[in-house]
Amino acid sequence: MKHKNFAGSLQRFVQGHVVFMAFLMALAVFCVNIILNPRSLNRNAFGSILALTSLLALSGAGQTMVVITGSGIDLSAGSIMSLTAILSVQLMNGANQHIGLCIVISVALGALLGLCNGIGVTKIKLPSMIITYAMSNVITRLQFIVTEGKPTGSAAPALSAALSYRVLGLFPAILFYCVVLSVLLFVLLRHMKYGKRLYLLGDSHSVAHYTGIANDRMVLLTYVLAGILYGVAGLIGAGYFAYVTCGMLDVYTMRSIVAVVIGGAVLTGGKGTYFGTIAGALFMVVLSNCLAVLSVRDCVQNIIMGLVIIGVLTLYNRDKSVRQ
Amino acid sequence: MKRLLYRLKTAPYFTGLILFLTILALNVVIQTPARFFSAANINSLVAKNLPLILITMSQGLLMMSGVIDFSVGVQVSLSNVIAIMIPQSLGLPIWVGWLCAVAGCVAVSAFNGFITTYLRIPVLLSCYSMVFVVKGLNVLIMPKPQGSVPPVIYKTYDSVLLGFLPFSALILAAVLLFWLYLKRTAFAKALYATGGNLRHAYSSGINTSAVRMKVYLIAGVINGIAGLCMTAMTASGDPNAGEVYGLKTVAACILGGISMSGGWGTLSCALYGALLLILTQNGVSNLFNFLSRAIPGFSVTNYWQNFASDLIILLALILTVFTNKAMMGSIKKQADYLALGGKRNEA
Amino acid sequence: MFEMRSIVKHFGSVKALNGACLSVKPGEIRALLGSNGSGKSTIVKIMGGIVRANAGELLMDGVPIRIESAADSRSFGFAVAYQELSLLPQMSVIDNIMLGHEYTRRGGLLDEKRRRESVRGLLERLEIKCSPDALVQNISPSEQSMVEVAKALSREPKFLLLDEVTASLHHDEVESLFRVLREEKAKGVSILIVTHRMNEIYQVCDSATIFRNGATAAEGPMSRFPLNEVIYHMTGTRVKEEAAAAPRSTAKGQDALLRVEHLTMKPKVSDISLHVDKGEIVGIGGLEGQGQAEYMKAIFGDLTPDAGEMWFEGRQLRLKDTSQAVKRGISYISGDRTKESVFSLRTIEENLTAGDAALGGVWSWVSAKKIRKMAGDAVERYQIKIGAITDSASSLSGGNQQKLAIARGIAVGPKLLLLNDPTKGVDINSRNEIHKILRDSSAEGMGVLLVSSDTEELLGICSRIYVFYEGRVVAELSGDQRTEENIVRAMIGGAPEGREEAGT
Repeated sequence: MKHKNFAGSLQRFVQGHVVFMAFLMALAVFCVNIILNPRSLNRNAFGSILALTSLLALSGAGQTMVVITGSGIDLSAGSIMSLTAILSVQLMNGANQHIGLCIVISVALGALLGLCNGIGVTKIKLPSMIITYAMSNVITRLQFIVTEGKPTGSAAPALSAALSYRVLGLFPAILFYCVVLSVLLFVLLRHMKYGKRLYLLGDSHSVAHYTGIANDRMVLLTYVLAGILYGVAGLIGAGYFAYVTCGMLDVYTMRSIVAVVIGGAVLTGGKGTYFGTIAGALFMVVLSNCLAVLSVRDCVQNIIMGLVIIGVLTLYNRDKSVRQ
Repeated sequence: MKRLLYRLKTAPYFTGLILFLTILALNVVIQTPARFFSAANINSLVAKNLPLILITMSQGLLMMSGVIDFSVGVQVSLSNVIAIMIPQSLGLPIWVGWLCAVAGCVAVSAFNGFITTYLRIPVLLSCYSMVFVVKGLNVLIMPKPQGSVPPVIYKTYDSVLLGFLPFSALILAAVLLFWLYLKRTAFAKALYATGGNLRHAYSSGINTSAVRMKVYLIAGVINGIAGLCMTAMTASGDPNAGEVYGLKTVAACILGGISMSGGWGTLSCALYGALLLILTQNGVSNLFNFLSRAIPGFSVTNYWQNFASDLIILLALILTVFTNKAMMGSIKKQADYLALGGKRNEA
Repeated sequence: MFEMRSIVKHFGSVKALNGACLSVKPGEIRALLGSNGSGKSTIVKIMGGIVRANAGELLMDGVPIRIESAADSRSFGFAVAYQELSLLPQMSVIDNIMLGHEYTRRGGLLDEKRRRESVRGLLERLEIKCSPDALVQNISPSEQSMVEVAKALSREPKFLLLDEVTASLHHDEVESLFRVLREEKAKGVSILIVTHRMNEIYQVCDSATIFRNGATAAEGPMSRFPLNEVIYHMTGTRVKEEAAAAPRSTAKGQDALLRVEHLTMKPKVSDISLHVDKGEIVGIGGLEGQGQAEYMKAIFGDLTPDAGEMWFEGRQLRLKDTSQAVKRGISYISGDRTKESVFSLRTIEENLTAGDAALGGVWSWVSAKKIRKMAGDAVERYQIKIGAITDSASSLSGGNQQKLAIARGIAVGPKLLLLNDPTKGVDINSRNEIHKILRDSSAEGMGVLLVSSDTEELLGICSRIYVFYEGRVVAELSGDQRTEENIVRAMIGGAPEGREEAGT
């Protein structure tokens, strides 16, 4: 009986402090990593963890907002990122003069594709998973058409430098953009009516409707904003990796969803913060880094990754039982 | 005739059938009836795409019971690699390998069912994690594409019986027959109820967890068979071939008219949906071939073909919203008519 | 003989049942009475196996039993017709009725013929006119309720539990239901009815159990419980015979805040006109489901009327969306907490300020300090009992959740407040406080349009009362006409004599 109470209170604690838990787990995995392989505690490894976390967190920004609306998940995140990355790299072609234009194009393209998603969800009323999946297919095909399968060019040196520069030899500059974005999102979600409404309608679309929130417009706007964020994340990804291939950033779709969920959001909406997403991203990156450092084979890494995600979800993301 | 039309308009597969017939007509026009309906063409279409059709059906079953499983795609590869590797590296007879292949898929599906129904992890996340796990398993079992099967197997798989009946169509027919039986049992009713509303099904005395588990097991068997078809078709093993199928099957089910929220549809929806995908691809590639022959100087890369077929699928998905509305409308009309004392299927 | 002893059930911090007892004898029809939220539905769900009791004993013929699942409940001979229905809308009537206990032939195939015959027999017995092949989503709400009863009956239960199934039934449907219930009773079936319609109870019930606040307040044969006695046990207070002090509106027709003319919305609302003046509380009475909710939602811009015109503050009101209504100064609060009024995951503060969040531009700044102050003021002013203001709204009791919703509606300073049964399932104290809030606000000039199925509530705070029956207004009562008798008579459609006991 006592044991049950302990388990119950542990679960309550975990569920009450999800963001904290995600950071804690990331820290735990990192410690295990260091114990097993002390050499992994070096500036380089630390910097690359921060950089990859930042990139994943950037791509998870839009996804966080979409998940909060409770209208589903966005499977087009990665493909939008890939598209803007490819276009920017082709346009920049190793020179600095088109950076401004690239930013404009990334934002505009992201907004346009997000708008298509949003219209599909709110006006045509297809399940978000389906419309964003179909969109992502079309977007991926577009990449191949535009580049004929072989993207050329490379990112502008200035952009690459601005992203991969290490402050104090440790903190990658991309972290700075991530921090800026998190502050922006914090303000947007906590201190603007947009954020207030987003959480409310994510909690319950019908209650929000009767409170006088224009749900459809909000969801549409959210998809557009998310699209813009993916677009920018794609540009940053292009700058960070300096080269691109078709569909290179597609993996970020699913990774971002997992990061968002590990960070405490629920797919039915109304819950979750961007800090949570960052924590989730950190956990994912540290875990995969740990597995890589232990020189576990790729396939075993995948298996462990999958099982760990299942374990984490069992801890705090279970549905309610049918019986009350 | 009128009766038939009426029945069609109120059937769950209305959406899938309409879209399928449209694309079929286009295919026939592009390829000319003689060539399209030739035994060789039909055989190659069915044989080449049977794995996709089969896993779309298992996805359909799952979606009808209110869950989704992206891992059907990687399960096909799992079955594929087990079927190749067990005879190859352990020296066991082929049939043992093939049994193990199906058993492997059933085990994966059962585990997936366990974490969704008993651990109650949101289904999208659990099956996504399973994609990771199974993908890893596949490569662990077979690090890179390799292997072969005895010629008798792939020759049988590719054969056309009696001059018109593709062997692969028999496998498809067997699965459909199984569904026709299943549909007339209490289990099917429990399945629809579970998918329609978990709480309501439960309060009607149905053990919803057991129903879902059984659906997962059946899906596992079908996925295993799909993997075997893949093995027979490619006559080798590839650990990574199946992953793209995962989400495709969900789209195919929606195209066929199965509801994302569960409790609606039949297995023929999944069939039409999968055929729609296949014929779209086929039709587009034939169209481009035709155009390049008809218009001198017209030549485009494969990329354009892929783009066109994915765009058509996106449009078809949007169309399903309207055809579904039309179907629901006719069902309502029928109900009103029946309430006034009319007989079934006559309007 | 089935007995339940000292049953306790919590939902989070909300105590639904607190030591409730209940017993049913074979061949008896027992009424389970109690005001909304007193735990009637919960105890029925425990018997149905879909809610697990936290504590308490269940005895079947003196032997302790455990109900672990809905299937268990069935094997003990229970069958439940639920208030919120347990039907699958996308399945046919036959499939729904036979669900969970199918007739099968060799090889596990369904015996279509036997299923059809058995369902046809049930439909005929209950005089349900819908086709057995129709999908449940396509038959009328009252037919759905009857199918729910048929589904329970088809299990040939020893204990038949009916949870407010008569709420949406028409008069003749109730008659045929009661005929069937009497037949079942003669066969020795125990029947438990949960209902709010008192006249029905006196028609068929032998005995009654009365719940108050999750515990059994009284139990005994029906003869012991005349209406006054029932109300006493339900509320815990004797009804005072004072005429409701008529809250009169000072304003007269010319400065009507809201004027609705000939609003029609098939099939629920036909040609209803009414007006609300500034500072006036207008009531809409009637049994549940007579078109009141649809009418309110049409005014709020949620539903589009087929015909009719609305004028608000002298200007025509044509709303495309609820957000436009809120912008014009119309707020809507419903008693359906989960679906329409409370954001259960979000904090109390966010709930209180949700109305404010819905107004203004999306990019406008929200000051945390201002929000905190606004929420704090509302908590104080409306005496909402909370733990911390950052607790989630689901931590509150039903009555406080409802006050939360109303406080949210008033906080944005609307000119017109639409209330759809706001005190449903709310305890008497909170109810009085909500009434006080409404009176105070209307004194400050806000117009209130209140739908309520509770006659006492209407008499207590409304200066004029419209009574709806089957989508029409059957009475407009003001001044001395506002009596309970008049309202109740109108509520049941000005029914013939013989049903007078409803009002006494």
